[in-house]
Amino acid sequence: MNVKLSYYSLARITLFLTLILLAIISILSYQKIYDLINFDKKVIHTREVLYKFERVVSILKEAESGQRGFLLSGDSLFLQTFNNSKLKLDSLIKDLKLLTIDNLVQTHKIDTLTMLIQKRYELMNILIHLVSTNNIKNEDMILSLRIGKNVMDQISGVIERSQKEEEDLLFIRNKVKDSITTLTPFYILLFTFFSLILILVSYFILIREFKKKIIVQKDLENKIEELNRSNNELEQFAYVASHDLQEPLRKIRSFGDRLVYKHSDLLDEDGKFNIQKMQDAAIRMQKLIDDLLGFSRLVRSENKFELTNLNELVASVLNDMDEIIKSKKAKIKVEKLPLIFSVPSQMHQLFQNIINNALKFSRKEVPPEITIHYAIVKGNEIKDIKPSNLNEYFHRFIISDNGIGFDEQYLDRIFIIFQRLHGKMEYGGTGIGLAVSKKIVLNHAGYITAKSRPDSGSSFYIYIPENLKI
Amino acid sequence: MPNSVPHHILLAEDDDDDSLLFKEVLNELAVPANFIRVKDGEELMHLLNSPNNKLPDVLFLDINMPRKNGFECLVEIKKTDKLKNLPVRVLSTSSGKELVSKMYSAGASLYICKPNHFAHFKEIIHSVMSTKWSLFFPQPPFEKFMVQM
Repeated sequence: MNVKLSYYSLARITLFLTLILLAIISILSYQKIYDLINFDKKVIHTREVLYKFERVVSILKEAESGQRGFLLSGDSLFLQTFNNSKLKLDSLIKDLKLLTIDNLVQTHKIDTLTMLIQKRYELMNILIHLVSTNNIKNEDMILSLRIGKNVMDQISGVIERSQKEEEDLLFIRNKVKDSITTLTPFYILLFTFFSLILILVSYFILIREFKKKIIVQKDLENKIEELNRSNNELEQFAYVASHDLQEPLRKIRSFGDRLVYKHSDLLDEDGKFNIQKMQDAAIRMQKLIDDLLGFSRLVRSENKFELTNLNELVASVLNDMDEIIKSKKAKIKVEKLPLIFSVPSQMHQLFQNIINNALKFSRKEVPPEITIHYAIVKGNEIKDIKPSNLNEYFHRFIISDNGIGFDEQYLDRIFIIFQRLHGKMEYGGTGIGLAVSKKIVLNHAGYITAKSRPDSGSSFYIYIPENLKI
Repeated sequence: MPNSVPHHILLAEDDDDDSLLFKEVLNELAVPANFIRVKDGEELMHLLNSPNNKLPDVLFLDINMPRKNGFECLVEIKKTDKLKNLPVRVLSTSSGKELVSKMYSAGASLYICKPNHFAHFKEIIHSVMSTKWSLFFPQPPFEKFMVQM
């Protein structure tokens, strides 16, 4: 049993580990694929930023060449290029700001860049204005151009550093990506491999246990078959034995009769007394055999189940027992009973046996009071019920009396054939009533039990399934 | 005893004791009868089928017999033209309903449960002998078929 248990927990542990591994693989794969997609986005982003910086430089150069053209020729056509370039630059700077909004260093650099570009344009605008109004000297113009070149160099520096920054970022990201692409597939493969091995292990364990189960089940089926067979044989045996035992017994009684009848003159009182004892014993044996025969007939008989009105049935039982009820001054209260599917003759016998017991085992000088309660209850209130019946509903009959009761430690014995709790001389009977009752209840797929205490009455609980399947 | 007493009684019974008790009953009832007993079914059928044999007026037939049991004999008797009108009264220890119906369907004219008391046996035989069974020929109604005490 221990070995079996550990095999099962082993299978459970392996399956659990497999699940964990699969979860890790899933999370890992998801995360890494997510990283890769993100990385691609970032690379595209970096390239865009770099491209936009290039564009800034080239547009600035366009502006400078426009300005230069105008300065040399005085042709306002060059100014058009110059003026267009400012608009283009504004939108480019706006784009760059948006693109690098998550990078403080870059944002800062772009602010500086914006400021420098502003300065460069101011210088160019002043120069263009002065030239167009012929208000400038040659040296001043060269000075202004020099200052302009200086600003332009600063701008180039800022852009170069910004580009370097982006390129560094790209380099780092590339490194990370390399580690992802080399390590992740390896881990996923490794984990998947382990999961597969674990699944295989648990598969073999389960198959092995399953095969064992099948063998055990087959054994059980064989045993049930054997039990049924031996049960049948026993029933057969009880029937044949009780039937054949009747023959010699009948003769003992008949010839005993003859002896008393024919030769009573020759017998003294003692002889007659002894013969009487023999006859009494024979009568008792006859009763036992009759009961046994009745019991085995109950087992063998084919049962015809039909819808039975228990109100009428119990009324007829009480009618049959009218004499003893009156002589004992018994009070019997019966609640409203249901219609149930049953074998009427067996139900008759069942109620008769239990009520008869209640009347028989009454206390001296106390008139019997018997109540038959009825209710529909769920199977889980029945002790030792088959697990498959737990959630079914049952008709519950409680037959209570105020009689002598019994000690509940004998509960199991009272339902066994010919078991008695009281001497034959105090209370008559062969001790078969409750055995027959139990057999009847079993025939109806039900349960019977009792609660009692000496001198405080007994209650017999009978449960019959509400929807009896035959 | 009334005049309609059968003269010729045949008892098929393997048990010597039961046979003895039966004879004692007849003796005590002082039935003037020609009593013959056979010990099993084979012997019974042999006797009934032998050509020179005078048929009995009534047959008391035990069910539980060796070689050929009472039921088999009954079926055979009812199938034979020469024998089928012979009144057959079954004697049995058992009072099982199935068995009683089976014997009734097979054509027996009475089913007597062997009683435990000699006195009862005497009463039964007396009442059987004094009833005019010819009124119920070939079979009485089922309610009157079984005699038990």
